[in-house]
Amino acid sequence: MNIIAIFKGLATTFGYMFRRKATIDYPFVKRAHASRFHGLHELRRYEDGMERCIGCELCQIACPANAITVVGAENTPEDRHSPGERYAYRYEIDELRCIFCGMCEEACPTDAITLTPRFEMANYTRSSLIYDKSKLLVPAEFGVGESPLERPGGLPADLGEVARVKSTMEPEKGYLATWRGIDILTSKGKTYMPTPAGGELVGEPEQLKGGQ
Amino acid sequence: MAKTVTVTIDGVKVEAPEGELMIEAAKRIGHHVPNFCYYPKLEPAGLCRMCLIRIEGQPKLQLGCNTRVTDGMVIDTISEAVETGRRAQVEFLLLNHPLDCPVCDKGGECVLQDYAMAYGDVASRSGMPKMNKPKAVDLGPTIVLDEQRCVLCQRCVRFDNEITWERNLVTASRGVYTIIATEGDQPYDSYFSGNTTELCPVGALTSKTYRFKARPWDVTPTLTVCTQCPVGCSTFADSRFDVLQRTRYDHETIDPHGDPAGDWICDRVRYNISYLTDERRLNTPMVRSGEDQWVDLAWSDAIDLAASTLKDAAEHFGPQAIGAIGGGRLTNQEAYLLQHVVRGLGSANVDYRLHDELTATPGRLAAQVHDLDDASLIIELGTNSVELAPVFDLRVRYAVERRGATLVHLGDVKPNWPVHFRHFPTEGDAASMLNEAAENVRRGEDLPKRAGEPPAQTLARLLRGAERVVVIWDGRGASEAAAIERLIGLLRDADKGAGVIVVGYAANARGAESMGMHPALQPGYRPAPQAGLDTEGMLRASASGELKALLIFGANPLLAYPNGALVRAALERVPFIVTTELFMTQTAVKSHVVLPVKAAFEKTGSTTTMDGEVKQLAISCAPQAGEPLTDREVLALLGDAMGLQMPSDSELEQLAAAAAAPELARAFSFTSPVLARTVRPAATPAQGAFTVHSVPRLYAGGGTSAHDTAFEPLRPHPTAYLHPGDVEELGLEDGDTVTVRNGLGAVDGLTVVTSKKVARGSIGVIAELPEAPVNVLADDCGSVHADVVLIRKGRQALNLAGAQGE
Repeated sequence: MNIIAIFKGLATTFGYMFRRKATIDYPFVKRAHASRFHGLHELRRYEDGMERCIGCELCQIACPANAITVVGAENTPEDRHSPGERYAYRYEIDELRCIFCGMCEEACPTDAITLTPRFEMANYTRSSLIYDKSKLLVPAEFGVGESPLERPGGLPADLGEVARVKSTMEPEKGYLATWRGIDILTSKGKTYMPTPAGGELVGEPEQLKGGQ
Repeated sequence: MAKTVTVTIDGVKVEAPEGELMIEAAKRIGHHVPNFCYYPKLEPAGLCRMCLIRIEGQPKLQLGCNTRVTDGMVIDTISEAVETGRRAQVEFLLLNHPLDCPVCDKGGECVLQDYAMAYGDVASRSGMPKMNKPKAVDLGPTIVLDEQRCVLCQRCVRFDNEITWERNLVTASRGVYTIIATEGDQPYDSYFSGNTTELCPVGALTSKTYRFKARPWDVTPTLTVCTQCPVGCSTFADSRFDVLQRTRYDHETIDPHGDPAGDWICDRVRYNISYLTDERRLNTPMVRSGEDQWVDLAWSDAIDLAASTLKDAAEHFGPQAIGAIGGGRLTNQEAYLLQHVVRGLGSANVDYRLHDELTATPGRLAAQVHDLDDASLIIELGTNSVELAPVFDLRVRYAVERRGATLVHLGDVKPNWPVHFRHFPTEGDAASMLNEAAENVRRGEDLPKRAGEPPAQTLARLLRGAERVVVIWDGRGASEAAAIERLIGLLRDADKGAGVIVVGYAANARGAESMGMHPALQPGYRPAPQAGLDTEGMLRASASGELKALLIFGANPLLAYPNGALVRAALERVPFIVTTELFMTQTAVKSHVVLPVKAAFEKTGSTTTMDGEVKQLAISCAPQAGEPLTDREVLALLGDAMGLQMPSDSELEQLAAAAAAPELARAFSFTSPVLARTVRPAATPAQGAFTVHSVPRLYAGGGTSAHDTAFEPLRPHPTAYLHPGDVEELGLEDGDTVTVRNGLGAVDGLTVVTSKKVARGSIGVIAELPEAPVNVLADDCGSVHADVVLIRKGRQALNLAGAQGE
């Protein structure tokens, strides 16, 4: 039995008291993750408030977990939801089933369904985790891009833009691609984001660099 | 037997009949040649130029769908030259094809999509904008056309010209501006319009009722049988979330080598399906309390109530005080159970016949439906197969237009046939004309043809010249039955092919008859020891108060039965009526206990087609509200509650299968004296200037078609067809609103349509419309007379002119 060995060991332990902490103060401090992180979905809009979703159900068939249910219906001049003839009358994602693989996002021909950096969606009931259009659609004022109302075929001009914006190593820039991402960036007081260009800095930037 | 030739296809030697199309010969070795315009049931057209094939020795690629094989031919369907040609063709078709597959109803079952994957490039080489043709063009009440998507294969136009012969669809404009249009820009109004959506290889023609409802991969297909008419077409029912989304016919699955004439489906089964989810559907058993008050009941209470009342009635008034009327909605098993329950109570008062018909089974005089294909003379007696059995009628049209058969119609109102036919007005007595013609044939005298000869003589000449004769009959009239038997016997004795096809009024009439839902027949066409009352007899007994309890299963006699005065009096008088229904129909309103039941798409069972084939129903969707049972379950519960010996499920299947055996039907004779119907007492016809004929219409009816909002635009408007001479004489014009009335009742709100299809002094009124039931004008007297009273001039006239005299 070597008494010195005990002190050596304790020295290592006490040494950590003076080092920088590896944990962060969640939920007051949140760790940024890659902007392509597969979190909670959102359904995007065009800048004129039109839904991007055309109810084509390609996300539904692409979904390996059968988490998505889409029912299409026809747009009428009095009741227009999206450019073109068809819109999603019903759009539901069962977030409990979802495996957040992002296949829906890849299948979407209009960049309507997108996965966002937001990962917090815990709730008390199962039914509250079935996200319908009211929970998925971004507010009308957060629409992005010109609506292809007049273009035959109805493909958006900015197709692929959201994926391009998200494909960055800088989370703060990538977060701007989605409404929920912007929401994380701009909601003050309760969350922390490492934005060198501004925002509330609560933690230390290098601690969060490359954090997953 | 056709000569066979040997051709080499892709290095494989193939024996093929001489003159076979190369595209078909390639199928023999399992090689699929891509194509849009080619369709096995249509004549080759060579329009899409997709089926390019290389023939050795020929410098250019040839069309596989248009070139026939000859001996020693060497053909490549898979080679670089062929691939290059097809690539170029797909590129050409995609030049102006919109990129809207995600919103296209055809996406997922589109031929162009498949070929674009197989032969198309990733991106277009053309920098030009695509042509902007109109989208969502309204072609008619059922079909939407997307002109951008159309590849101009003209399958739809050819179907309309070669199969239905209606010639509604045409191509308009030329070159790249070519579009599909309707003749004279009239709405595309056809009983078969839905078939074009299935023929369309792209998403140009789509159904209004199925627009954006589901994608092909969402739906669960179930092969079942349509129960809307006696033809009994096999149909795929596609459902999603347990709700029926569409019905369709799949030629490749159901009928891969079928003949062109048969095997399509009509628009009644295709578009009259949302009644299944209609909010007016009955959900729970109800009992009447007071005049129009209904109280919901639990199933057990409703069954107990019905069973105890029926039992009491049988005990107090004798079993003869109980009767049952069944309808065409019942499957064979349900028909068996209904007669089992009634006969179990000791009564034999059970019948399915609601339209004065005698029989639905042609028996030993039968012709099969495919006999029409080589018939040289087709005589339609009284009936109107265009309206009563539309898909069967396609075969009639095919026989006439393609095979050169002569079509003769004997009846009062000229049918709407788009093919050539001769119409002989019979003034209600087709039998004597047929007898006269038969007598003429028997005597063998060959009178010279002359103008103005009596129709019977013309008919006799046609009969003498015909090798194979098919009579189409609606099963009405004992004298007609005798005349048909005599004529067919005569022709068969002369070694000619002859037979009769019965186009009944009820969908599963033939099944009902074979199951013994008939007062004089037990299951399997066995004569009953003691014949009960038929429908007329039951209604008479009801009106006189002898019948104390009536079971009405899947029938609507108040709307359908020709003798309106009698059926009204009868239903008022019977103290206890149990009805099973999907909706609160005219008859259900008059009954005392109404039990909600499942529709044909929601239950299993078998049904017998007009050809005697037994087909199986399958469950393809589920009721969306309430707790309806099937008629079979209701009858089983009723039987158990009354303490009757009921067959188990497997026994019932065996009994029904045994009774439906085709040899039993073949031995049956519809002129057998046991089938005699209750004769109506002679009555003086009600006074009226016009003879009223009820005109059947495919989309009429008080049940499924009247309770379907999506089908509403297709339903016939109440119409009075009048001869132009009469219209002029009455000072009417097209679009005026009239009332047709006599001493018994009045049919209101009829729109006048001038038509030469009705004779002078006659008026045709669409039958079985709940808003204008024509049978209110009828009583015991066979012929119906009524006056026409003008109510309102003009279609849009708002100022009510009030009732004016004629």
